[in-house]
Amino acid sequence: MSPQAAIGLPEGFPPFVPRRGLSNGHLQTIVGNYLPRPPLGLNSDPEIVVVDPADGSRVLCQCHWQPEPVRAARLTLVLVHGLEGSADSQYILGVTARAWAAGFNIVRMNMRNCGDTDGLTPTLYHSGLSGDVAAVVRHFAARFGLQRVALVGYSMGGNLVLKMAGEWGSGAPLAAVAAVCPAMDLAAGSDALHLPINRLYELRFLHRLMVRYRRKAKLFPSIYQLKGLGPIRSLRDFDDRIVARYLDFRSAADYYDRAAAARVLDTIAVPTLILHAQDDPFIRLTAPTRAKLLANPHIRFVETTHGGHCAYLSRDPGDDIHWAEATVIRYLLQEAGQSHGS
Amino acid sequence: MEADWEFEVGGGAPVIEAVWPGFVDLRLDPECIHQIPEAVAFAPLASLLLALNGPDSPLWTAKCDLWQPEAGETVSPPPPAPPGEVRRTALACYVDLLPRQGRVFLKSEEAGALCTAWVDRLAGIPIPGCRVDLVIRMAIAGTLEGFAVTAYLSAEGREVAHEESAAATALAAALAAFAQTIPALEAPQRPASTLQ
Repeated sequence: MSPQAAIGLPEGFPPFVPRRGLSNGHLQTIVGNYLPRPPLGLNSDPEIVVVDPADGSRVLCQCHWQPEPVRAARLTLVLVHGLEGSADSQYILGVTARAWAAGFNIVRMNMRNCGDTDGLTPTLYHSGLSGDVAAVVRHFAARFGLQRVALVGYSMGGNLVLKMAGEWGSGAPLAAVAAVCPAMDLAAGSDALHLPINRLYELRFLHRLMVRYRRKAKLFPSIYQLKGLGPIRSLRDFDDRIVARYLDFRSAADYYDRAAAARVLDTIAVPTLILHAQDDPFIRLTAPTRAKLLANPHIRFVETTHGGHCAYLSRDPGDDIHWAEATVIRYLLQEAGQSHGS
Repeated sequence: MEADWEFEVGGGAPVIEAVWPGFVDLRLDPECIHQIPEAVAFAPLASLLLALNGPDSPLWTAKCDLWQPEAGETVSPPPPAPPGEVRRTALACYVDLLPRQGRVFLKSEEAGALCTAWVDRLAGIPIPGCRVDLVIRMAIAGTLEGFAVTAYLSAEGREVAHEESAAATALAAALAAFAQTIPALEAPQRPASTLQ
Protein backbone atom coordinates (compact mmCIF):
# COMPACT_ATOMS: atom_id res chain seq x y z
CA MET A 1 0.00 0.00 0.00
CA SER A 2 1.39 3.40 -0.93
CA PRO A 3 1.88 5.94 1.85
CA GLN A 4 -1.20 7.83 0.70
CA ALA A 5 -3.47 4.89 0.10
CA ALA A 6 -6.37 3.83 2.22
CA ILE A 7 -8.04 0.46 1.79
CA GLY A 8 -11.80 0.56 1.87
CA LEU A 9 -12.38 4.28 1.54
CA PRO A 10 -15.75 5.08 -0.11
CA GLU A 11 -15.55 6.30 -3.67
CA GLY A 12 -15.02 10.04 -3.92
CA PHE A 13 -13.73 10.43 -0.39
CA PRO A 14 -10.37 12.26 -0.16
CA PRO A 15 -7.57 9.88 0.82
CA PHE A 16 -5.53 10.48 3.93
CA VAL A 17 -2.19 12.13 3.24
CA PRO A 18 -0.21 12.69 6.43
CA ARG A 19 0.98 16.13 7.39
CA ARG A 20 4.46 16.88 6.14
CA GLY A 21 6.95 15.43 8.60
CA LEU A 22 4.26 13.54 10.49
CA SER A 23 4.35 10.17 8.81
CA ASN A 24 5.54 8.63 12.09
CA GLY A 25 2.70 7.09 14.08
CA HIS A 26 4.06 8.27 17.42
CA LEU A 27 4.50 11.83 16.22
CA GLN A 28 0.99 11.83 14.74
CA THR A 29 -0.39 10.61 18.06
CA ILE A 30 1.58 13.02 20.23
CA VAL A 31 1.18 16.10 18.05
CA GLY A 32 -2.51 15.33 17.63
CA ASN A 33 -2.79 15.50 21.40
CA TYR A 34 -1.10 18.88 21.68
CA LEU A 35 -2.25 20.66 18.55
CA PRO A 36 -4.32 23.67 19.60
CA ARG A 37 -7.85 24.05 18.25
CA PRO A 38 -10.24 26.94 18.13
CA PRO A 39 -12.87 26.92 20.91
CA LEU A 40 -16.14 25.19 20.08
CA GLY A 41 -18.24 28.34 20.23
CA LEU A 42 -21.52 26.48 20.76
CA ASN A 43 -23.66 26.43 23.86
CA SER A 44 -24.70 23.05 25.18
CA ASP A 45 -27.56 21.77 27.30
CA PRO A 46 -26.23 19.49 30.03
CA GLU A 47 -28.46 16.56 30.87
CA ILE A 48 -27.96 13.72 33.32
CA VAL A 49 -29.17 10.32 32.11
CA VAL A 50 -29.78 7.28 34.31
CA VAL A 51 -27.96 4.36 32.72
CA ASP A 52 -28.43 1.75 35.43
CA PRO A 53 -31.50 2.10 37.65
CA ALA A 54 -30.31 -0.82 39.78
CA ASP A 55 -27.41 1.08 41.28
CA GLY A 56 -28.45 4.59 40.31
CA SER A 57 -25.56 5.12 37.91
CA ARG A 58 -25.92 8.23 35.80
CA VAL A 59 -23.88 9.87 33.07
CA LEU A 60 -23.61 13.51 32.11
CA CYS A 61 -24.35 14.39 28.48
CA GLN A 62 -23.70 17.71 26.80
CA CYS A 63 -26.34 18.23 24.12
CA HIS A 64 -26.64 20.47 21.10
CA TRP A 65 -30.17 20.46 19.68
CA GLN A 66 -31.37 21.81 16.39
CA PRO A 67 -34.61 23.90 16.54
CA GLU A 68 -37.58 21.95 17.81
CA PRO A 69 -39.57 21.82 14.57
CA VAL A 70 -36.80 19.90 12.82
CA ARG A 71 -35.11 18.22 15.78
CA ALA A 72 -36.74 14.80 15.58
CA ALA A 73 -36.12 14.44 11.85
CA ARG A 74 -32.48 15.43 11.94
CA LEU A 75 -29.77 12.83 12.46
CA THR A 76 -28.60 12.77 16.08
CA LEU A 77 -25.00 11.84 16.83
CA VAL A 78 -24.07 10.30 20.15
CA LEU A 79 -20.33 10.85 20.60
CA VAL A 80 -18.28 8.63 22.91
CA HIS A 81 -14.75 9.53 23.98
CA GLY A 82 -11.74 7.32 24.71
CA LEU A 83 -10.07 6.08 27.89
CA GLU A 84 -9.73 8.92 30.40
CA GLY A 85 -11.15 11.39 27.92
CA SER A 86 -14.42 13.23 28.33
CA ALA A 87 -17.19 14.98 26.44
CA ASP A 88 -14.80 17.90 26.20
CA SER A 89 -11.94 15.99 24.56
CA GLN A 90 -10.56 17.87 21.60
CA TYR A 91 -11.59 15.29 19.00
CA ILE A 92 -15.11 15.20 20.42
CA LEU A 93 -15.37 18.97 20.12
CA GLY A 94 -13.96 18.78 16.60
CA VAL A 95 -16.61 16.30 15.47
CA THR A 96 -19.26 18.36 17.24
CA ALA A 97 -18.41 21.51 15.30
CA ARG A 98 -18.58 19.66 11.98
CA ALA A 99 -21.74 17.79 12.88
CA TRP A 100 -23.49 20.99 13.93
CA ALA A 101 -22.51 22.63 10.66
CA ALA A 102 -24.01 19.61 8.85
CA GLY A 103 -27.32 20.16 10.63
CA PHE A 104 -27.15 17.26 13.10
CA ASN A 105 -28.16 17.13 16.74
CA ILE A 106 -25.23 16.15 18.93
CA VAL A 107 -25.05 14.39 22.29
CA ARG A 108 -21.56 14.44 23.78
CA MET A 109 -21.69 11.60 26.27
CA ASN A 110 -19.35 11.29 29.22
CA MET A 111 -18.68 7.73 30.22
CA ARG A 112 -19.35 7.00 33.88
CA ASN A 113 -17.07 9.07 36.13
CA CYS A 114 -15.58 11.04 33.25
CA GLY A 115 -15.93 14.79 32.92
CA ASP A 116 -15.73 15.22 36.72
CA THR A 117 -18.80 13.06 37.37
CA ASP A 118 -17.31 10.58 39.82
CA GLY A 119 -20.13 11.27 42.24
CA LEU A 120 -22.84 10.23 39.79
CA THR A 121 -22.14 6.51 40.06
CA PRO A 122 -20.81 4.12 42.67
CA THR A 123 -19.11 2.04 39.96
CA LEU A 124 -15.96 2.40 37.92
CA TYR A 125 -16.16 2.43 34.13
CA HIS A 126 -14.85 -0.02 31.60
CA SER A 127 -14.90 -1.06 27.94
CA GLY A 128 -17.90 -3.32 28.27
CA LEU A 129 -20.49 -0.72 29.25
CA SER A 130 -22.22 -0.63 25.88
CA GLY A 131 -25.49 -0.71 27.79
CA ASP A 132 -24.80 2.85 28.89
CA VAL A 133 -24.63 4.00 25.27
CA ALA A 134 -27.88 2.16 24.55
CA ALA A 135 -29.51 3.79 27.58
CA VAL A 136 -28.50 7.24 26.35
CA VAL A 137 -29.87 6.49 22.88
CA ARG A 138 -33.18 5.25 24.32
CA HIS A 139 -33.46 8.21 26.67
CA PHE A 140 -33.11 10.90 24.03
CA ALA A 141 -35.03 8.97 21.37
CA ALA A 142 -37.98 8.71 23.73
CA ARG A 143 -37.74 12.27 24.91
CA PHE A 144 -37.57 13.93 21.51
CA GLY A 145 -38.97 11.26 19.21
CA LEU A 146 -35.65 11.03 17.41
CA GLN A 147 -35.98 9.13 14.16
CA ARG A 148 -32.34 8.43 13.39
CA VAL A 149 -29.37 8.17 15.72
CA ALA A 150 -25.76 7.54 14.75
CA LEU A 151 -22.95 6.60 17.11
CA VAL A 152 -19.40 7.91 16.87
CA GLY A 153 -16.67 6.56 19.12
CA TYR A 154 -12.95 7.04 19.49
CA SER A 155 -10.56 4.33 20.74
CA MET A 156 -12.24 2.82 23.84
CA GLY A 157 -15.38 4.70 22.84
CA GLY A 158 -15.05 3.06 19.44
CA ASN A 159 -15.18 -0.34 21.08
CA LEU A 160 -18.24 0.73 23.04
CA VAL A 161 -20.23 1.95 20.04
CA LEU A 162 -19.34 -1.10 17.96
CA LYS A 163 -20.27 -3.41 20.82
CA MET A 164 -23.53 -1.55 21.30
CA ALA A 165 -24.29 -1.77 17.56
CA GLY A 166 -23.58 -5.49 17.51
CA GLU A 167 -25.90 -6.04 20.44
CA TRP A 168 -28.58 -3.67 19.13
CA GLY A 169 -29.06 -5.08 15.64
CA SER A 170 -31.00 -3.11 13.04
CA GLY A 171 -33.80 -1.65 15.13
CA ALA A 172 -34.71 2.02 14.99
CA PRO A 173 -33.51 4.59 15.70
CA LEU A 174 -29.95 3.31 15.17
CA ALA A 175 -29.01 4.41 11.66
CA ALA A 176 -25.21 4.31 11.41
CA VAL A 177 -21.97 3.94 13.37
CA ALA A 178 -18.47 5.35 12.98
CA ALA A 179 -15.46 4.28 15.03
CA VAL A 180 -12.02 5.88 14.89
CA CYS A 181 -9.14 3.65 15.98
CA PRO A 182 -11.44 1.43 18.04
CA ALA A 183 -9.85 -0.84 20.61
CA MET A 184 -11.76 -3.92 19.49
CA ASP A 185 -9.23 -6.50 20.62
CA LEU A 186 -8.67 -5.43 24.19
CA ALA A 187 -6.12 -8.05 25.21
CA ALA A 188 -3.90 -7.39 22.22
CA GLY A 189 -4.15 -3.64 22.74
CA SER A 190 -3.34 -3.89 26.43
CA ASP A 191 -0.27 -5.99 25.71
CA ALA A 192 0.83 -3.57 22.98
CA LEU A 193 0.55 -0.69 25.42
CA HIS A 194 3.03 -2.45 27.68
CA LEU A 195 5.71 -2.64 25.01
CA PRO A 196 8.70 -0.47 25.95
CA ILE A 197 8.13 1.80 22.97
CA ASN A 198 4.60 2.49 24.20
CA ARG A 199 5.46 2.92 27.86
CA LEU A 200 4.86 6.65 27.44
CA TYR A 201 1.19 6.12 26.71
CA GLU A 202 0.66 3.37 29.25
CA LEU A 203 2.15 5.49 32.03
CA ARG A 204 -0.07 8.40 31.11
CA PHE A 205 -3.18 6.21 31.19
CA LEU A 206 -2.11 4.53 34.42
CA HIS A 207 -1.40 7.81 36.16
CA ARG A 208 -4.84 9.15 35.31
CA LEU A 209 -6.61 5.89 36.12
CA MET A 210 -4.94 5.68 39.53
CA VAL A 211 -5.75 9.31 40.31
CA ARG A 212 -9.36 8.53 39.46
CA TYR A 213 -9.35 5.34 41.51
CA ARG A 214 -8.03 7.16 44.57
CA ARG A 215 -10.71 9.80 44.11
CA LYS A 216 -13.31 7.06 43.84
CA ALA A 217 -12.01 5.41 47.01
CA LYS A 218 -12.35 8.71 48.82
CA LEU A 219 -15.93 9.15 47.61
CA PHE A 220 -16.95 5.54 48.24
CA PRO A 221 -14.65 4.23 50.99
CA SER A 222 -16.96 1.37 51.84
CA ILE A 223 -16.57 -0.04 48.33
CA TYR A 224 -13.03 0.68 47.17
CA GLN A 225 -9.87 -0.28 49.03
CA LEU A 226 -6.51 1.37 48.58
CA LYS A 227 -4.56 -1.18 50.62
CA GLY A 228 -3.59 -4.58 49.35
CA LEU A 229 -3.67 -3.77 45.66
CA GLY A 230 0.00 -4.56 45.18
CA PRO A 231 2.15 -2.81 42.61
CA ILE A 232 0.23 -1.74 39.52
CA ARG A 233 2.74 -1.30 36.74
CA SER A 234 0.68 -1.94 33.65
CA LEU A 235 -2.80 -1.50 32.29
CA ARG A 236 -3.23 -5.25 32.60
CA ASP A 237 -2.31 -4.98 36.31
CA PHE A 238 -4.95 -2.27 36.72
CA ASP A 239 -7.56 -4.31 34.89
CA ASP A 240 -6.66 -7.43 36.84
CA ARG A 241 -6.61 -5.96 40.34
CA ILE A 242 -9.16 -3.17 40.10
CA VAL A 243 -11.47 -3.52 37.09
CA ALA A 244 -11.89 -7.29 37.43
CA ARG A 245 -12.16 -7.14 41.21
CA TYR A 246 -14.85 -4.48 41.37
CA LEU A 247 -16.75 -5.14 38.16
CA ASP A 248 -17.39 -8.87 38.40
CA PHE A 249 -14.85 -10.19 35.96
CA ARG A 250 -12.74 -13.20 36.88
CA SER A 251 -9.54 -11.57 35.66
CA ALA A 252 -8.18 -9.06 33.19
CA ALA A 253 -8.24 -11.78 30.54
CA ASP A 254 -11.90 -12.49 31.26
CA TYR A 255 -12.66 -8.76 31.09
CA TYR A 256 -10.82 -8.33 27.81
CA ASP A 257 -12.67 -11.27 26.31
CA ARG A 258 -16.17 -10.30 27.43
CA ALA A 259 -15.91 -6.57 26.84
CA ALA A 260 -14.37 -6.66 23.36
CA ALA A 261 -16.50 -5.55 20.44
CA ALA A 262 -14.65 -8.16 18.41
CA ARG A 263 -17.15 -10.71 19.75
CA VAL A 264 -20.15 -9.05 18.10
CA LEU A 265 -18.79 -7.52 14.90
CA ASP A 266 -20.59 -10.12 12.81
CA THR A 267 -23.99 -9.01 14.12
CA ILE A 268 -23.64 -5.33 13.28
CA ALA A 269 -26.51 -4.59 10.92
CA VAL A 270 -26.34 -0.86 10.20
CA PRO A 271 -23.89 1.06 7.99
CA THR A 272 -20.64 1.24 9.94
CA LEU A 273 -17.36 2.99 9.22
CA ILE A 274 -14.19 1.89 10.98
CA LEU A 275 -10.95 3.86 10.59
CA HIS A 276 -7.74 2.10 11.55
CA ALA A 277 -4.15 3.24 11.01
CA GLN A 278 -1.46 0.63 10.48
CA ASP A 279 1.01 2.76 12.44
CA ASP A 280 -1.29 3.17 15.44
CA PRO A 281 1.18 2.65 18.30
CA PHE A 282 -1.02 0.44 20.44
CA ILE A 283 -4.27 -0.57 18.76
CA ARG A 284 -3.97 -4.11 17.45
CA LEU A 285 -6.30 -6.12 15.24
CA THR A 286 -6.15 -9.88 15.47
CA ALA A 287 -6.62 -11.97 12.35
CA PRO A 288 -10.05 -13.30 13.42
CA THR A 289 -11.29 -9.76 14.07
CA ARG A 290 -10.02 -8.57 10.72
CA ALA A 291 -11.79 -11.48 9.04
CA LYS A 292 -15.06 -10.57 10.77
CA LEU A 293 -14.75 -6.95 9.70
CA LEU A 294 -14.17 -7.86 6.09
CA ALA A 295 -16.96 -10.43 6.04
CA ASN A 296 -19.69 -8.10 7.29
CA PRO A 297 -21.22 -6.20 4.33
CA HIS A 298 -22.52 -3.48 6.65
CA ILE A 299 -19.01 -2.57 7.76
CA ARG A 300 -16.72 -0.34 5.73
CA PHE A 301 -13.26 -0.99 7.14
CA VAL A 302 -10.82 1.75 6.12
CA GLU A 303 -7.20 0.99 6.83
CA THR A 304 -4.57 3.67 6.26
CA THR A 305 -0.81 3.34 6.34
CA HIS A 306 -0.42 6.37 8.61
CA GLY A 307 -2.50 8.30 11.08
CA GLY A 308 -1.29 7.20 14.50
CA HIS A 309 -3.81 6.79 17.27
CA CYS A 310 -6.88 8.99 16.78
CA ALA A 311 -4.73 11.67 15.15
CA TYR A 312 -5.00 11.55 11.35
CA LEU A 313 -3.33 14.93 10.87
CA SER A 314 -3.50 15.52 7.13
CA ARG A 315 -1.94 17.92 4.69
CA ASP A 316 -5.23 19.70 4.18
CA PRO A 317 -5.21 23.35 5.25
CA GLY A 318 -6.83 24.92 8.29
CA ASP A 319 -9.26 22.87 10.31
CA ASP A 320 -9.37 20.29 7.53
CA ILE A 321 -6.13 18.98 8.98
CA HIS A 322 -8.36 16.63 11.01
CA TRP A 323 -9.05 14.06 8.30
CA ALA A 324 -10.82 11.49 10.46
CA GLU A 325 -13.42 13.98 11.66
CA ALA A 326 -14.11 15.18 8.15
CA THR A 327 -14.36 11.60 6.87
CA VAL A 328 -16.71 10.51 9.65
CA ILE A 329 -19.13 13.38 9.02
CA ARG A 330 -18.98 12.86 5.28
CA TYR A 331 -19.75 9.17 5.74
CA LEU A 332 -22.67 9.84 8.08
CA LEU A 333 -24.09 12.40 5.69
CA GLN A 334 -23.88 9.86 2.91
CA GLU A 335 -25.32 6.93 4.84
CA ALA A 336 -27.74 8.40 7.31
CA GLY A 337 -28.28 12.07 6.97
CA GLN A 338 -28.83 15.01 4.74
CA SER A 339 -27.09 18.31 5.11
CA HIS A 340 -29.47 20.98 6.31
CA GLY A 341 -27.02 23.71 7.15
CA SER A 342 -26.94 25.21 10.57
CA MET B 1 14.36 8.41 40.79
CA GLU B 2 17.47 10.08 42.08
CA ALA B 3 17.45 13.84 41.66
CA ASP B 4 19.84 16.67 42.38
CA TRP B 5 20.69 20.16 41.21
CA GLU B 6 23.71 22.46 41.12
CA PHE B 7 25.01 25.77 39.81
CA GLU B 8 27.49 25.79 36.96
CA VAL B 9 28.15 29.47 36.41
CA GLY B 10 31.34 31.32 35.49
CA GLY B 11 34.86 29.98 35.17
CA GLY B 12 34.42 28.86 31.60
CA ALA B 13 31.15 27.06 32.28
CA PRO B 14 28.88 26.69 29.25
CA VAL B 15 26.39 29.47 28.51
CA ILE B 16 23.01 28.49 27.10
CA GLU B 17 22.25 30.32 23.88
CA ALA B 18 18.52 29.78 23.79
CA VAL B 19 17.67 31.16 20.36
CA TRP B 20 20.38 29.29 18.51
CA PRO B 21 20.43 28.83 14.69
CA GLY B 22 18.62 25.48 14.83
CA PHE B 23 16.04 26.63 17.38
CA VAL B 24 12.52 25.26 16.82
CA ASP B 25 9.85 27.20 18.69
CA LEU B 26 7.31 24.57 19.71
CA ARG B 27 5.24 27.20 21.49
CA LEU B 28 4.24 28.59 18.13
CA ASP B 29 3.68 25.35 16.27
CA PRO B 30 3.69 21.87 17.84
CA GLU B 31 3.82 20.36 14.35
CA CYS B 32 7.43 21.48 14.06
CA ILE B 33 8.40 18.69 16.42
CA HIS B 34 9.27 16.68 13.32
CA GLN B 35 12.18 19.08 12.76
CA ILE B 36 13.85 17.85 15.94
CA PRO B 37 15.59 14.56 15.10
CA GLU B 38 15.97 13.51 18.73
CA ALA B 39 12.21 13.79 19.23
CA VAL B 40 11.51 11.83 16.07
CA ALA B 41 13.88 9.12 17.28
CA PHE B 42 12.40 8.86 20.78
CA ALA B 43 8.67 9.54 21.14
CA PRO B 44 8.77 10.09 24.92
CA LEU B 45 11.12 13.02 24.34
CA ALA B 46 8.71 14.44 21.75
CA SER B 47 5.89 14.20 24.25
CA LEU B 48 7.97 15.88 26.96
CA LEU B 49 8.96 18.75 24.68
CA LEU B 50 5.37 19.37 23.62
CA ALA B 51 4.18 19.25 27.23
CA LEU B 52 6.87 21.71 28.32
CA ASN B 53 6.00 24.08 25.48
CA GLY B 54 2.25 23.70 25.77
CA PRO B 55 -0.03 26.68 26.41
CA ASP B 56 -0.49 25.74 30.06
CA SER B 57 3.20 25.25 30.76
CA PRO B 58 5.12 28.00 32.59
CA LEU B 59 8.24 26.99 30.65
CA TRP B 60 9.71 26.75 27.18
CA THR B 61 12.60 24.73 25.85
CA ALA B 62 15.57 25.79 23.79
CA LYS B 63 17.64 22.76 22.96
CA CYS B 64 17.77 19.04 23.58
CA ASP B 65 19.84 16.00 22.82
CA LEU B 66 19.56 12.24 23.13
CA TRP B 67 22.47 9.84 23.37
CA GLN B 68 23.70 6.51 24.65
CA PRO B 69 26.23 7.11 27.43
CA GLU B 70 29.25 4.88 27.87
CA ALA B 71 28.94 2.16 30.48
CA GLY B 72 29.36 3.70 33.93
CA GLU B 73 28.82 7.25 32.70
CA THR B 74 25.47 7.43 34.42
CA VAL B 75 25.68 7.23 38.18
CA SER B 76 22.36 5.70 39.06
CA PRO B 77 22.53 1.99 39.94
CA PRO B 78 20.32 -0.13 37.70
CA PRO B 79 17.55 -2.18 39.25
CA PRO B 80 18.31 -5.69 40.53
CA ALA B 81 19.35 -8.03 37.77
CA PRO B 82 16.74 -10.57 36.66
CA PRO B 83 17.71 -14.07 35.63
CA GLY B 84 19.07 -14.17 32.10
CA GLU B 85 20.81 -10.79 32.24
CA VAL B 86 23.16 -10.33 29.32
CA ARG B 87 24.34 -6.72 29.28
CA ARG B 88 23.84 -3.23 30.63
CA THR B 89 22.71 -0.32 28.50
CA ALA B 90 22.04 3.32 29.17
CA LEU B 91 20.16 6.13 27.50
CA ALA B 92 20.24 9.81 28.34
CA CYS B 93 18.90 13.14 27.18
CA TYR B 94 18.98 16.76 28.15
CA VAL B 95 16.56 19.63 27.74
CA ASP B 96 17.24 23.32 28.34
CA LEU B 97 14.40 24.90 30.33
CA LEU B 98 13.52 28.58 30.47
CA PRO B 99 10.59 30.45 32.04
CA ARG B 100 7.84 31.44 29.64
CA GLN B 101 7.36 34.70 31.49
CA GLY B 102 10.45 36.82 31.08
CA ARG B 103 12.12 34.29 28.74
CA VAL B 104 15.12 33.76 31.09
CA PHE B 105 15.47 33.62 34.87
CA LEU B 106 16.50 37.05 36.07
CA LYS B 107 18.30 35.81 39.17
CA SER B 108 20.07 32.55 39.76
CA GLU B 109 18.29 32.32 43.11
CA GLU B 110 14.95 32.12 41.31
CA ALA B 111 16.14 29.20 39.26
CA GLY B 112 17.63 27.66 42.39
CA ALA B 113 14.36 27.89 44.30
CA LEU B 114 12.56 26.25 41.43
CA CYS B 115 15.14 23.50 41.10
CA THR B 116 14.84 22.79 44.83
CA ALA B 117 11.09 22.32 44.45
CA TRP B 118 11.49 20.18 41.33
CA VAL B 119 14.10 17.95 42.94
CA ASP B 120 11.98 17.48 46.06
CA ARG B 121 9.09 16.35 43.91
CA LEU B 122 11.07 14.21 41.46
CA ALA B 123 13.08 12.42 44.14
CA GLY B 124 9.85 11.00 45.53
CA ILE B 125 8.91 9.25 42.29
CA PRO B 126 9.83 5.57 42.37
CA ILE B 127 11.47 4.86 39.02
CA PRO B 128 14.45 2.52 39.48
CA GLY B 129 17.57 3.05 37.44
CA CYS B 130 16.85 6.68 36.58
CA ARG B 131 18.19 10.00 37.69
CA VAL B 132 17.73 13.63 36.86
CA ASP B 133 20.36 16.32 37.31
CA LEU B 134 19.38 19.96 37.02
CA VAL B 135 22.18 22.39 36.22
CA ILE B 136 21.67 26.14 36.45
CA ARG B 137 23.67 27.99 33.83
CA MET B 138 23.90 31.47 32.43
CA ALA B 139 21.65 31.95 29.44
CA ILE B 140 21.09 34.35 26.60
CA ALA B 141 17.77 34.58 24.76
CA GLY B 142 17.98 37.15 22.01
CA THR B 143 18.83 40.40 23.77
CA LEU B 144 18.00 39.06 27.21
CA GLU B 145 20.52 37.59 29.59
CA GLY B 146 19.90 35.67 32.75
CA PHE B 147 19.82 32.02 33.74
CA ALA B 148 18.32 28.78 32.53
CA VAL B 149 18.22 25.17 33.69
CA THR B 150 19.60 22.21 31.81
CA ALA B 151 17.79 19.03 32.84
CA TYR B 152 19.80 15.86 32.30
CA LEU B 153 17.78 12.67 32.51
CA SER B 154 19.46 9.30 32.33
CA ALA B 155 18.52 5.68 32.74
CA GLU B 156 20.36 2.39 32.95
CA GLY B 157 18.96 -1.05 32.49
CA ARG B 158 20.07 -4.62 32.31
CA GLU B 159 18.98 -6.13 29.06
CA VAL B 160 17.46 -9.54 28.77
CA ALA B 161 18.11 -11.28 25.48
CA HIS B 162 15.54 -10.64 22.74
CA GLU B 163 13.76 -7.93 24.71
CA GLU B 164 13.66 -4.25 23.88
CA SER B 165 15.83 -1.81 25.76
CA ALA B 166 15.16 -1.64 29.47
CA ALA B 167 17.05 1.65 29.55
CA ALA B 168 14.71 3.16 26.96
CA THR B 169 11.73 1.97 28.96
CA ALA B 170 13.12 3.46 32.15
CA LEU B 171 13.99 6.75 30.47
CA ALA B 172 10.50 6.90 28.96
CA ALA B 173 9.08 6.52 32.46
CA ALA B 174 11.39 9.24 33.77
CA LEU B 175 10.42 11.62 30.97
CA ALA B 176 6.74 10.97 31.53
CA ALA B 177 7.13 11.67 35.25
CA PHE B 178 9.15 14.78 34.46
CA ALA B 179 6.46 15.99 32.05
CA GLN B 180 3.77 15.50 34.66
CA THR B 181 5.75 17.13 37.47
CA ILE B 182 7.66 20.07 36.11
CA PRO B 183 4.98 22.15 34.35
CA ALA B 184 2.74 21.75 37.39
CA LEU B 185 5.18 23.71 39.54
CA GLU B 186 4.92 27.35 38.68
CA ALA B 187 8.06 29.13 37.52
CA PRO B 188 8.83 32.58 38.95
CA GLN B 189 7.16 35.31 36.92
CA ARG B 190 9.58 38.21 36.97
CA PRO B 191 10.88 40.32 34.11
CA ALA B 192 14.38 39.60 32.87
CA SER B 193 17.11 42.13 32.30
CA THR B 194 17.90 43.43 28.84
CA LEU B 195 21.39 43.57 27.40
CA GLN B 196 22.58 47.11 26.81
